[in-house]
Amino acid sequence: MKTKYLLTIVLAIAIFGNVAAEETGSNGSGSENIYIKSPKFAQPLLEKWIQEYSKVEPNIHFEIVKGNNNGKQIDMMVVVSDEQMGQNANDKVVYFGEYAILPITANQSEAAKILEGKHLNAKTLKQIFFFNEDYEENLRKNKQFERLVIYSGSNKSSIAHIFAQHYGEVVDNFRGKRISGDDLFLNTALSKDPFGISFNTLPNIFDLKSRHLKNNLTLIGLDLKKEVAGNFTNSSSLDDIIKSLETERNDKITIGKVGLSYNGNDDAINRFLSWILTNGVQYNHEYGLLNLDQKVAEIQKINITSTYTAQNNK
Amino acid sequence: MKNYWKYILTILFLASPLWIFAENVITGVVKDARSGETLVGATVSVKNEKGVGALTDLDGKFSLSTNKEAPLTLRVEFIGYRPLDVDVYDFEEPLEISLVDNADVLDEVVVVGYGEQKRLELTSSISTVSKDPLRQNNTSVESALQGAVSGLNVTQTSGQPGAASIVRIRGGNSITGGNEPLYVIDGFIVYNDPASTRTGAKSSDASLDPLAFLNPADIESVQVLKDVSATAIYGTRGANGVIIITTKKGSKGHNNISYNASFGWSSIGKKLDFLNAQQWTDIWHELYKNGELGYDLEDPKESYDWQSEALRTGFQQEHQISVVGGDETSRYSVSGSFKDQDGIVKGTGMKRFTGRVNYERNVFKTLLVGVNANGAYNKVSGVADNSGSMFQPSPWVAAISHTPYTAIYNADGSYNYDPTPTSVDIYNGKVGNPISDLENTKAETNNNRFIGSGFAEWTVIPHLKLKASIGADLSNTRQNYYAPSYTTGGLANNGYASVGEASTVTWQSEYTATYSNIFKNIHSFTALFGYTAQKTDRSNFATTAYGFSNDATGYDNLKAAATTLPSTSAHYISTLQSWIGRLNYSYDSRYNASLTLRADGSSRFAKDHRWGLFPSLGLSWNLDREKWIHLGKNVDFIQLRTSIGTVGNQEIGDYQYAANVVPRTVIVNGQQAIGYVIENKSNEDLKWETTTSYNAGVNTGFFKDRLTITFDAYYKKTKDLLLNVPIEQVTGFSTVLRNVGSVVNKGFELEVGGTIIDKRSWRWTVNANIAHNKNEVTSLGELDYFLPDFASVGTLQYINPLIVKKGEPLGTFYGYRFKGIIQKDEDLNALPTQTISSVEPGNPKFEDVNGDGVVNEQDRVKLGSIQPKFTYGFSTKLSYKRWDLFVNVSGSHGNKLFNALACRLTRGNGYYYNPLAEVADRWTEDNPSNTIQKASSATSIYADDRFVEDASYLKFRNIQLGYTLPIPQIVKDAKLNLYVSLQNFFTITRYSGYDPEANRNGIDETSSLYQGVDYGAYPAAKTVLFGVKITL
Repeated sequence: MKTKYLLTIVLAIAIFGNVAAEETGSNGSGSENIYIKSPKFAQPLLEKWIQEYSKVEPNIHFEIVKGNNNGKQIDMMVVVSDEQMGQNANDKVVYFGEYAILPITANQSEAAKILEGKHLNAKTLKQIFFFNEDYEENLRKNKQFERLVIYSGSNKSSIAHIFAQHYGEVVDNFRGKRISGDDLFLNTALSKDPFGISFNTLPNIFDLKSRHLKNNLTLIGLDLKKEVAGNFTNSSSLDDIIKSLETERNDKITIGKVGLSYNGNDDAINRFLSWILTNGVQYNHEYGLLNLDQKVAEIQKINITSTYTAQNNK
Repeated sequence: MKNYWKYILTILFLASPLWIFAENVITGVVKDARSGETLVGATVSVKNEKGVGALTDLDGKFSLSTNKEAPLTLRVEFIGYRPLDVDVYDFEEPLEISLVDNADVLDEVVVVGYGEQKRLELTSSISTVSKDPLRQNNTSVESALQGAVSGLNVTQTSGQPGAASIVRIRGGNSITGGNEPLYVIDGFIVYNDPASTRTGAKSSDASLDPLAFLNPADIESVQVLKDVSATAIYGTRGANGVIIITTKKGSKGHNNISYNASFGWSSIGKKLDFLNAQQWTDIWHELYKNGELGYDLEDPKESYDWQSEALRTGFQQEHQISVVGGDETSRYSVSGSFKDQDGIVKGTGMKRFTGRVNYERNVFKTLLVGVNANGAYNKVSGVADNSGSMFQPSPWVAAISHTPYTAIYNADGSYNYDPTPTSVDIYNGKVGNPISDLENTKAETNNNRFIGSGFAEWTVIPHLKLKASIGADLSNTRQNYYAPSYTTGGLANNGYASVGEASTVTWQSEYTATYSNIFKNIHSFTALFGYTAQKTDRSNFATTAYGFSNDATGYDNLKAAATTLPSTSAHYISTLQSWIGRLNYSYDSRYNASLTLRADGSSRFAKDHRWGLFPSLGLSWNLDREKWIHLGKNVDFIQLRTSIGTVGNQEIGDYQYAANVVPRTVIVNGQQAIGYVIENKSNEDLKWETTTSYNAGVNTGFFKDRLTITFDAYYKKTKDLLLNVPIEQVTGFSTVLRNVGSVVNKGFELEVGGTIIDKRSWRWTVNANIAHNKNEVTSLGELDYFLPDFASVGTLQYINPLIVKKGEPLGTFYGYRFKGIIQKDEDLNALPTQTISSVEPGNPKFEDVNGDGVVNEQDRVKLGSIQPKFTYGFSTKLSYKRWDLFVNVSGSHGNKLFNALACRLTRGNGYYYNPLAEVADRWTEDNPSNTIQKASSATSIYADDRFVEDASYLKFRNIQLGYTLPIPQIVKDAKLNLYVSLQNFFTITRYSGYDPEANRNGIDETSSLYQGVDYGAYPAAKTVLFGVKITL
């Protein structure tokens, strides 16, 4: 008989646990939950912001949505290209930084051997990565290039759009294979294909703790000016690269803006964004991102302030 | 206690959060990579996970669940697109998958004889009809091909609904044999022989289109095989080129129903101007004044427009329904259609019912079986053939040239059969009325056709396939003719009837083995070996009777006729068996070779000449793939091709080598008796007409294949042509059929295809082609020339306007050179005498070419030919979002026609007809015309260069505007397509007749001997069609 009671209690707990879990998922605590969607390269920075901002507004809960949305209404989304815009009519974007994209391959791979000692200029990069008229011509000079397999991301949040745009191309013109999933998985794809080459953002290719390249990756050599070439080697630190790029832009290196899209009707979000632009951006370098140009950064602040003010005046 | 813990764990498991069973949900959208349009019905499946998959919905979206963890690979497939594998590393975002269509020139697979081949590895000249013309509303299979590819010349010789067309690939090879290309429809060989639908009964002017059984909307693709490397696999039937038609098949994952309805109105494209009643009466007055007529007429009170009265606005409607679909193991496609079309000439029209079933099933993984079946019923009501008549080769010509002086109807609206002072051919006080003739004379052709085949294909090992197929082509034609007692055709005989039936049964079996493999990734090798046999059994009979007591039963009761003419019947059996072999080799897709050999044995030849060998060799080189050649950044593809080989033509008719014994009625002792005579001298040495061909060509692709250019040059010599040649009279015969002639065709072809705009909203494609063919008769044996005999064709038998002459092309016109009209102040003694027309003011004068002082038959010269200098086609499609506009233009330049109708009607004559309006400006003493001769009661005419007209033309075949509207309210994939089509709406030509393509004169329109003579062909129509297509 005791056992029956015990079973009943266990069953009740189990069912309650399920229900409670679902309740919590929707809005369990009663306080405000804000869901953020982000590509993986920006997630460490977001987590840092959430952690720091909780000291400012402890009642607002931020959650970075992982996996499928599971019916959650995404309140903010990290955007890396125009492709992600327009999903909601009221979307606004505030930019908080920039990301740099570098071509990579797997360390010790066949592709790395093919590209060893090569310093690729913008034209050659375009020839290798995209279907284009110049490619065959280039192949004749470097027959080994024919063996390279290009990997690029196909998600909307992929930086592939910006990389293609930088070379005047569209993503449909990428050679090779396109993967579905976060751009971080491009590193995985490279590890499986000895002839694979790809490109990725600095937070995805550098170890944020050691500040050096991830062990399994190597940078593809670029035709850079002598003064800056030393900052873009396999032994360069993340900070060297960021510093170099913030000092002088280079047409071989793709740089895109990263921002947060939001609705603009939620005060809590507006306050958070305002905090990011004034305080949060100080962590950009630590998490592999470049700071915005001063003027652009000021415009972002004005934009968010005007949104915030307008919202308050209603 | 132990058990209780199990119980606890079970409950916990059941009650635990759903993540224990959590499935990964993958969502996404599939789009066209070029246009960005979403793709409905694409299959998305998880690789290596059976049964996990989904189809994209109306918005191109899909959602599927899998227990598999990332990373996994999705397989995305959609018909017409290259399959794509997508590596999925996480499920965070909906996938956006872009598929690239497989229209890429290099990846395109081309249907060739008994198989398929990558276009990259082709060695032959094969043109593919682009999909756009096939997707429009086409009136016939042939109309879909007009102007579609270079070197394919389709001439619609009659505007009669359901009429046959002349189709030529790279010119005509044969003088007396068939020149039509071979059709291969879903693997079944069909020779487009208009004779197969002729029964011998009196019937309509134009033959029934032998391809009428096939609904053009059922066609998925058409390949035109032009050079010998492609056609040699068809041996004795490849000489005239081959057209491979593949009908629509079902596909995996699709289940669609579509209904297409169109409604249209047709009217004549161009009318001719005739004299009005007063002008016509003026001629009468003139002839009376000149003493050529015995009495005069009163001036008319009214003028009657017989041409307009013979015409009408023809309504047509067509309904088509098709169901296609398939699953993992089966694919099906079923369709049916009904068409009812009124001709623009009264009393004419057609009805057509078609049905088609294609079904395939993978019974086992290695065994595929299937059936293809087409069935159709066609009923064509045509203009009765009356080509034996001097002035009225058909009721249509009789109507348009009828005297405007005579009323068409009585006051009560009934037809006027009363003679007037101008009437001829009066029987029992009545005359025929051509409008009544059109309405009441029945000239019908009914054809039932079934073509069906079944096949089994066994993949013995991955590289070896064995295929067996067997099929039948059953055609049954009935022709009915009845001219009631009050019509022109029945007036003299109290009703005239003729009925006939023709049956053609063809059996075909094919057995092939195909081995295909790639060695060391560089040596691609395909070998085909097979055996095929075909047996054709044709029979026909016809009976004619006249003298009916009444018109009630017409052709349905010949017993009611007072007189029955001797019936005719015939029966022909022919067999053909063949061994086929082909080796294809490609090295690194750079160097390609194709060696073909076919051995044909045909019963159409005597025992010692039944077997023939037909070899061909084709080579091609894709020089763009050579590392050492620098072609520039915009060059994608350059292929050089060349081929050589020999093919044959067995379309010479049956039993030609044998002496035919035929019955003759003879009078013995004053009594009629039937005797048998040998009709022709046998010749057991008769053999194939053989064509040896050389072809060189280049295929190119530029700007990511957005621009493709194909160029071919060829030389074909056909020898051993069958001709009746004179022999010694002691044999008892004047001629014997021998292989003596030869014809050469040489020319070039250019095709250009381009995608000018390829954006998400806009897409603009253009296809253009041009071809030049020079045809020349190079040998006629011991003959230098002969004149094709228009025996029994009223007017034409007296003038024989064509000549077949060594050194000249087939279809060369032959006649006098017109030098103007003899004027009244001209010195008649200074002019040469003329045997064909007296030398007097107002009459025509002709050039005395040989200068012997007499214009006679020896002064006839060649006056041009039907052979065009070049033919061309142009089609373009412009799409903007949901709108699309398609324009198809084709034309011919430099070809001539003998306008026999104008030859007859460009002279003033009192009785028999109403001349063309220009005769009002004829020569009179007060009007010194130098082009139109004076009015005369004489009826003689002559072929001269006035009537050999430039028949160059440019026709806007089709202008179609469409709008596609999604209608998810019905089902989520539903689409509604509305379109309006203008067909043959504009023609630019200098030809003065009804239509520059018109080519009918009462004799076999497909024969090379009689083409190019327009004697009142059924006029071409222009049509406006409105259509709606619903796809669910």
